[in-house]
Amino acid sequence: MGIDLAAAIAGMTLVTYLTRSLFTVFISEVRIPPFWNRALSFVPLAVLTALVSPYLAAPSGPGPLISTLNPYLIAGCVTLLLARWSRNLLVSAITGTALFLILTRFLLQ
Amino acid sequence: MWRIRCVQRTRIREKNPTRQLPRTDNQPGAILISYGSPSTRIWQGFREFLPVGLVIFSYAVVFGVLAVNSGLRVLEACVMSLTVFAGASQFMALPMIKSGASVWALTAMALLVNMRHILYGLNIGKKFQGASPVKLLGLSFGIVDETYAFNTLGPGGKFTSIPYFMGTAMCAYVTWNAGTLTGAVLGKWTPFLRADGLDFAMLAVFLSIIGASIRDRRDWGVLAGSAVIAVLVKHTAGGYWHLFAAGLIVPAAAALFSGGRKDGN
Repeated sequence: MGIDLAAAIAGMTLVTYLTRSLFTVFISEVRIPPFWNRALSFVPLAVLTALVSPYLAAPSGPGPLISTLNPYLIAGCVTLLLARWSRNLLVSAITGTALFLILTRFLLQ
Repeated sequence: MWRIRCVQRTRIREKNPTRQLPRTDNQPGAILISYGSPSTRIWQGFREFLPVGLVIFSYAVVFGVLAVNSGLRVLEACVMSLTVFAGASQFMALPMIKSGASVWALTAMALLVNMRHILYGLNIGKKFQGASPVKLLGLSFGIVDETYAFNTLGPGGKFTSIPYFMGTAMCAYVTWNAGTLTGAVLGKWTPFLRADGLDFAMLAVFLSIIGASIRDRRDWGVLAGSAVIAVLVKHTAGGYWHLFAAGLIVPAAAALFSGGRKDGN
């Protein structure tokens, strides 16, 4: 295991455990203001979206801000809508990946 | 799935009516009453969590496959699951590792993504108020989305106890790690699973999680705001600033203009 990867895993482990343990144990002294409570509930959705959207918009990295008609963007939007509609992660992930493979192998070649 | 679990619960209750605890159980402090020896309660939690455990197992297989696809060794993927034990941040770490992100970027990402555990910890701490700090320190390692939901809103919510929670957490831990190992080995020795274009599978998993968690117009707003900010910041600043820009600005804005989401997911 590379030293960087080991350090990264150690860092992730430490901060993750802190988020779990600190407030579980020292509950009585802490009160999270309602504003932060509400803000925290949106964080996963916002971060996940932020993580994937640059890949969908410009999969090849630096270059145009958004490349339309790219298979990532098309298959990505279909996957998202399919998951919203079916609420079934397995169905949407598999269908989306299949669509992506079809697009890259045949339609957009 | 949910209904099946509820039916199972009712059946178990009918078989052992003594296990049904008074409703006051939901109040802080009252939870420490436990029926049966701790080891029975641990095993009971483990068993009753198994249906969820199977779902965790299947996610973990996907994680294992994607991890080796992103260049991790089987051992590295397994160590990550054994120590970090937090699905979302582990999935997100993969593309970052692949593109050579720094130790700090990965650690900061894990902190940001796992901040939701603070909410879980607050509730779990309230539920088990009065327990010894050592026990709580041990138990808190087992706080993940699934065990939290199961022991609060879910089937275990009414009568959970520290040993019962430990049982559900152990089940989640075992299935998450068994699944990671299975997926990593599968991914390593099945060339088909390393095919070109399967890097999209990871994005598809994320997008599915996002799509399935969208409830109302407000969530669409968060999604749109986050996507726009992320694309712009990534385009101008590069690196991983877009995660922090979107992950801090958008939730704060959403909290300013509306109430919170019903669940923490």
